[in-house]
Amino acid sequence: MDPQLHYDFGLEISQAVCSYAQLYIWPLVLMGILSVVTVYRREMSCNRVYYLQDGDPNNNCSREGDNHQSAADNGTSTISRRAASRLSWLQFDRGADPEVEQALLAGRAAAQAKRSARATNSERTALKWSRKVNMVAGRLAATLPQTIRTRLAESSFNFFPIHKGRRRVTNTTPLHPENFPSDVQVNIFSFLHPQDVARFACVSRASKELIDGQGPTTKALWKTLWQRDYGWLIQSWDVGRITFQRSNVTDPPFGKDFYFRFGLCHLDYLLAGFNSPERCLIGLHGCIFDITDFFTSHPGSPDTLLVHAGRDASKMFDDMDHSRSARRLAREFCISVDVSATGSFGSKPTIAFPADGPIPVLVEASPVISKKQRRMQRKECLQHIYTVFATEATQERKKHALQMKANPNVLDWNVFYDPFQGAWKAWYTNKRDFETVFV
Amino acid sequence: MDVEESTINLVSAEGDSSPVPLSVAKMSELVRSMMDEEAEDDDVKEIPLPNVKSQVLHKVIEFCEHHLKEPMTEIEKPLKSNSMSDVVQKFYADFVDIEQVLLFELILAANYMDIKPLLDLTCATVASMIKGKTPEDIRTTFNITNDFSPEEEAQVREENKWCEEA
Repeated sequence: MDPQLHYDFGLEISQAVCSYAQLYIWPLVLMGILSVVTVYRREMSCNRVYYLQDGDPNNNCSREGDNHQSAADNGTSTISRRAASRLSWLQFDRGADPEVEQALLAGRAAAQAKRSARATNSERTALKWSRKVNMVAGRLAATLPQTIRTRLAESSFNFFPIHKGRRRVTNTTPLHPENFPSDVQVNIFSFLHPQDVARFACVSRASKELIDGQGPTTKALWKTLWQRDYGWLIQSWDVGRITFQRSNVTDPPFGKDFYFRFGLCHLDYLLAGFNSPERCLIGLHGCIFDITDFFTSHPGSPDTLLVHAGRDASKMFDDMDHSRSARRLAREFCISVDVSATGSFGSKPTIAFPADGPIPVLVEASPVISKKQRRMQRKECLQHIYTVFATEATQERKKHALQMKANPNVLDWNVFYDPFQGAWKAWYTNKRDFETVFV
Repeated sequence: MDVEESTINLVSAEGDSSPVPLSVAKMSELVRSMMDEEAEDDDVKEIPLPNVKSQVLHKVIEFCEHHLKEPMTEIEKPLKSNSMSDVVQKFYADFVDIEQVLLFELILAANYMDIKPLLDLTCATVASMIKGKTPEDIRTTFNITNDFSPEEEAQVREENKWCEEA
């Protein structure tokens, strides 16, 4: 190999690159600036309002920002924050058992030490950089590095920390769980995930009769499961009680179909009509948010929120491409969490209700709705029931679309399924007095 | 305290009687309600339990005695693990690590004597045998014969398929 030739070749390339850069330096710089501005503006557009209103009670985002800043100054790594959020999920999972908690903490601390050793260098650089920018650009600019740091942290955030156990080898002995007294059977199934309960129907004719049949045990079984997973929504929550009264049903049709349909329709059913400034509720990804105190400060105009409230608005929320900080902010208003992401089922409250038995306090458990979630989300339901339900929903929407278009008073209309009556219903907001009308 | 000293005899199906401290025996709602009915009596009393075999009764008493010393953690629903040792303390996990026949008899005894924690523990154990298993596994575990015709089975499986789509 000729070193001379090699050298010339390298020089030639560097010269070419230099001349190229000289030619295009300004467009390149301009493009860089523009892209930074774009990213920055997108974040700002969702946050600006809260930063300008200092001292406002709704100023959660800015307060949260400050917290994060001080956390960063203390050198707390993003990893520990991630670990903390995962811990809260796990606690939520296992309840408040101190022993489990201790074991979890110990295990986590070990894993964390290992990870943070690897991450300290890049962390420190990011911190230094963020401080410098803060000094120069003031508090508005502080959000930019923060967002980037959050993004780093969330990129590896595991939304499904619990994996369900796989099959194991079993032993053989006589006796059937099918032969137990019915209250014992109900007790056994009350420990199971609805997926396992449904699967049990495939074992034999007797088990199919038990799970899918019409008998009193079947009814008691699904009633118990429903009370375990959704009962508090109707029994302890005032909104649920109001909605249930409207259904005017004394003996709900508990059964497999009822249970799974309730899971599919409960957001639209429970929140129907709650889109007024007095009580504004919205459903996102199986969680319920009470935005009564917030909607006036929504950056995309309060009216937008009112129009989309009172139902499951996940699609709209995702289509608007809300920033991470907006998603974090939403967390503050969460009152019901969809727990199917934790290997459990149904929904759990984030607040404690005083009456009617033991309901766990889960204030810390409200999730941040991840941007990834849309892709990862799976319908937690039986395929068969889901398909029928979706077809019905499309038909009903079409049917009502015609009726509502003909009605001049309709501002915004919605279709929902009433699981207690087993019928499809619709409601709309009256254009003149903004009253909710149920059809 | 008087209560600590006094004992009561629980008589099994075979006629064996086992003396048990009152506090232990009263974990059973059945015993408790029977005691309340005949509260006037003094000295040693006997409570017949014709539905419970000696072997099972000993297990029940063992559970109740331990439960007074170290109460069982409440079992969370739905179960998070297939292994009972992840759900309850070691003693209780070992306690239900027994033959299925005995386990099922324990369930019936707990149901009959109305001992809530024991019923929960044993039912959860059966549930943990079902959790995450395929129908074939469940048939093998509990020795259940498949009495579906092939068409019926295909249909019931189709109806109970879980949504897998993204």
